[in-house]
Amino acid sequence: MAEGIRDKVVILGMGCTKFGERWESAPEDLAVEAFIECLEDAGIEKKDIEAAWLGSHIDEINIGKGGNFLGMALKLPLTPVTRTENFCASGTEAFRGACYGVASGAYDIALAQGVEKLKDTGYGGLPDSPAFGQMQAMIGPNASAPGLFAQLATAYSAKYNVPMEKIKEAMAHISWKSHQNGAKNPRAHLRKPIPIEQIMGAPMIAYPLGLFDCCGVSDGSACAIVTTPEIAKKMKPNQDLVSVKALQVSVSSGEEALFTDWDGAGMLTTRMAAKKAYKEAGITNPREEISMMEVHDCFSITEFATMEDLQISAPGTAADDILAGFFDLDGQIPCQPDGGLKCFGHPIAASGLRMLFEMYNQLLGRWPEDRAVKDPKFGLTHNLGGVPNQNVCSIAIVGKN
Amino acid sequence: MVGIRSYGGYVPRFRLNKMIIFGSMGWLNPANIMNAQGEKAVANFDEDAVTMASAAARDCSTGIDRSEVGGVYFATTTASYRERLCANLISGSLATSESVRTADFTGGLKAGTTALIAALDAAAAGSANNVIVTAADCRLGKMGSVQEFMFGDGAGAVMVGTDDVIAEYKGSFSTGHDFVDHMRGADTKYDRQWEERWIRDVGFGQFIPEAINGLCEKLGMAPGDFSKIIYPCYYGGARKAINKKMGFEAENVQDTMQAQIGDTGTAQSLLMFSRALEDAQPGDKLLLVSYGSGCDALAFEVTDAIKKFKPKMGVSGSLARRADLDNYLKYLVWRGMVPAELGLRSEEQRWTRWTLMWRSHKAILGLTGSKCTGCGEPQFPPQRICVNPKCGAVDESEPIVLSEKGGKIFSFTSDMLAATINPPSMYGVVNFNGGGRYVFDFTDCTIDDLAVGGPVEFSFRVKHRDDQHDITNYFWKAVPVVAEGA
Amino acid sequence: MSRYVHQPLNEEIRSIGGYYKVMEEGVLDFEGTKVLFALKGAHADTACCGPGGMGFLAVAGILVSYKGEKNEDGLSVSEVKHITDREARKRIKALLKQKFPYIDVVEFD
Repeated sequence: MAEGIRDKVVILGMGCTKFGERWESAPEDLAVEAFIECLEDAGIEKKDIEAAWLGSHIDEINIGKGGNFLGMALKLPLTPVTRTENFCASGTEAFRGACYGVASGAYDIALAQGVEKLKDTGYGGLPDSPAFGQMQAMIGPNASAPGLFAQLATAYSAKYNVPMEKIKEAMAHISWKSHQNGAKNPRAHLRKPIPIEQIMGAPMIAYPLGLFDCCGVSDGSACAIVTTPEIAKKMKPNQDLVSVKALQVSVSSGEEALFTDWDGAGMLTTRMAAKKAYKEAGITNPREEISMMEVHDCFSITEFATMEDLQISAPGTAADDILAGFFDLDGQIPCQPDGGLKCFGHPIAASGLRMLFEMYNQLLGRWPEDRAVKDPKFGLTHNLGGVPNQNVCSIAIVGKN
Repeated sequence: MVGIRSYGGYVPRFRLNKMIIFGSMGWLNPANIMNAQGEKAVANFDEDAVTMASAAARDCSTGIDRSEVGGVYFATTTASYRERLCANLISGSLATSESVRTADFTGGLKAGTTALIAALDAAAAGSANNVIVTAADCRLGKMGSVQEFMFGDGAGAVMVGTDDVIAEYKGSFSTGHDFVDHMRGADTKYDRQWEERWIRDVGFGQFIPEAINGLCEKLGMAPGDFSKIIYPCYYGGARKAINKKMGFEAENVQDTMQAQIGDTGTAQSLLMFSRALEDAQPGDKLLLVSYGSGCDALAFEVTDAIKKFKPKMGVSGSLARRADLDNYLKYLVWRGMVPAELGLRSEEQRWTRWTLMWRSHKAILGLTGSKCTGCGEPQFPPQRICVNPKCGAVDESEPIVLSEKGGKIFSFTSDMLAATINPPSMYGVVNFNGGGRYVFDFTDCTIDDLAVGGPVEFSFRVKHRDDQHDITNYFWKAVPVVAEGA
Repeated sequence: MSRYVHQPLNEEIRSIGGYYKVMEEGVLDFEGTKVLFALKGAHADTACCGPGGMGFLAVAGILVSYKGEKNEDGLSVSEVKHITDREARKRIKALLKQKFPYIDVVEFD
């Protein structure tokens, strides 16, 4: 019986660029910026890195294929670099690769980096690409992501008999909360609190999702250097350390898209990955034990549904928890303390590592009082790539060693 | 007995009031006020001659086992391809056997009846039976032209065979004249016509009587023997003159539906014929005439079996299902008549990979999925490993045609961001009646027509246009079934 | 009853995915009541999902009080009753269509 990853790997250092419309920066600039910060935080030299994993999703206009980009941008000395691509989980996949590399005993120190340069397209929005292959490009719906995610709301409302007005109110609260949190964060793409009535007054982009329920397009990079607990203790004696408690990925099997049992009101992948992650981390009651979360709020409805998929809110009650402030920065489980995708930004493959960057710094108590989560024990990160009926979910749980 | 076995038609849902065209373009050619009465049927942004012909063919094969179909003949002058047989697209959409005779008839507007004669001859010779003849056109006149007011979009279809014949074929007479009243060159988009007085007096005025007299002489009949005379002619004055010349009583002459649909080109005679069959009684003698580059004239006698067949919609059902298109510029953009900005994102290339299209042609054209023989679950597109997590059988399935199953809306949305020439893009998850689900585009509807649990039917539509390579791709969309009068 | 905060006209209200502007506010006479509505423009110019935009009418509701107070940001606040009746919404849509023939999207708060 496999033991899982719990406490076998420690994060030695992390780095993260400011996210945003980085017109001035090439992907190489973003990679170097995050990497130098990470290297300094880890207190090692470049030659100590024995292997690297590079996450990037949109390669067509981004960094190309393979691992060469990172080797050349960082001048890694003929180091193994593996590119990981798994939609919005690409960054967490890079982290998973590095962690497994260390946990297996193959390497002592490994790098995981996510880089995404999206603002070279000439238009707003992600580049159009046959994300699900050529057959779906021919016969799939003429859809955009918000339209596909918006259907979570119609299905959820029908399943739990929660009125759409209440769902919309909860979604507005989700957006309001991220803007509140993001405003305090100097690295966030958007730093502006928005009154709830301005959120409610925004137009419907895809019924019932409003414009302010959608995330944006950002450039950015984030990275982590990981090692074994033994090495970390030796290098950073008498310091708090953040160790990896769980790493799980779940990928759609087709039963959501093609089989009629799926309720459409949440993600089967998140439900599966969460169950396995809690077991791996030794968490039995997530609502009581998780201290904080960074979840994939590509749309407000995604965060909404994820609260139930992660077993934090009981089925049918997410709106109640959200509106009660349960997930606010001063609530019981702050969700998106750094502003989330909606305000910190969403350079796709950097997002998973950006979430871990927030959890890592919160656990080490590095953030100023006004945006610090009190006495955190476990931090959970969650990515969801693709669309609700066909997606990839990754969950990581980190905690103090 | 050889003759018509079934009939059907299709009129697109959108109707453009001709006064709206006049309001936009009347300043240029004020005389068009006299053409501006009534409305014209306009193909939706995702319809063309192929999809309309498919819809009419499906209508006419209501209740008939598609495996019996022995041929599909398609007549049009507005095919989406010059090389690629559109009849194959239509037979594909009907999920007929592929061991069938398929042909496109084109060039002149009489091609619809020419295809019909070819089918009747094949049935008589015993070389093909149950041949669907479907005709559709979507012709364009330039902005402000007479043709823009005259032409309408639509399709008519009949099935020809030797069993269950509802109208027995008595014979035909044909003429071929290189009489160029309307023409389009090989690379020309818009119709060009010669002087109207000449078309009226010589074209309709001489050729229609010539064809009718020729047929009567051949069959030993008189024009007055027919209880219904079906012939196209969009000039009201010329029709009156022809009726008078031939001694036809107005009530015996089939309405052209010029003020409701417009002239549908190669489809016109079949559309009118199909409409006439809706009202036909056993013993009725029908005279069907076409016009354009000559004429075909055909005689039929309705049998008792007429009472046993009803198309699903029929021309009149299709006519009754309507919505106003209240924006002339929308029509122009849909037909590609004016350049419109769709954003840089729409310029991203989407290649059509013909190897893939062939491998998957039954799924794409025929909405054919797989039905697991283990657990019975239908699935689309076809799966090698059953998607039911409790089953998972490998390679144990049989094909299942889902296009006629209908379905129910599981979830839906209306999307302002997806690139389309008809925003908002509407789509959602549809559960097929009987099992299986897929995400479909919705069409021919507004957001108010969509509701969770609402019934849908499937319609074969233009899925995607690659203007750079002049490729039109087709697939199925879901059309909400809206209760009459709702 | 709900509060309606009057946003400054023609100022961009921006989020990460795009922005909108309140371009014009108006009051519609409707069956003996006064209905508050706004003409807004929106542009999703940086949304992850693709660029797009729209002009739309937002119907706040039947006016109960008009600009009777100010909020903490100094913006006027009215009180409205949301319109939820499907048939009433249809009739209001038709009235607005006459006033704004070029606007297809009408949203009800």
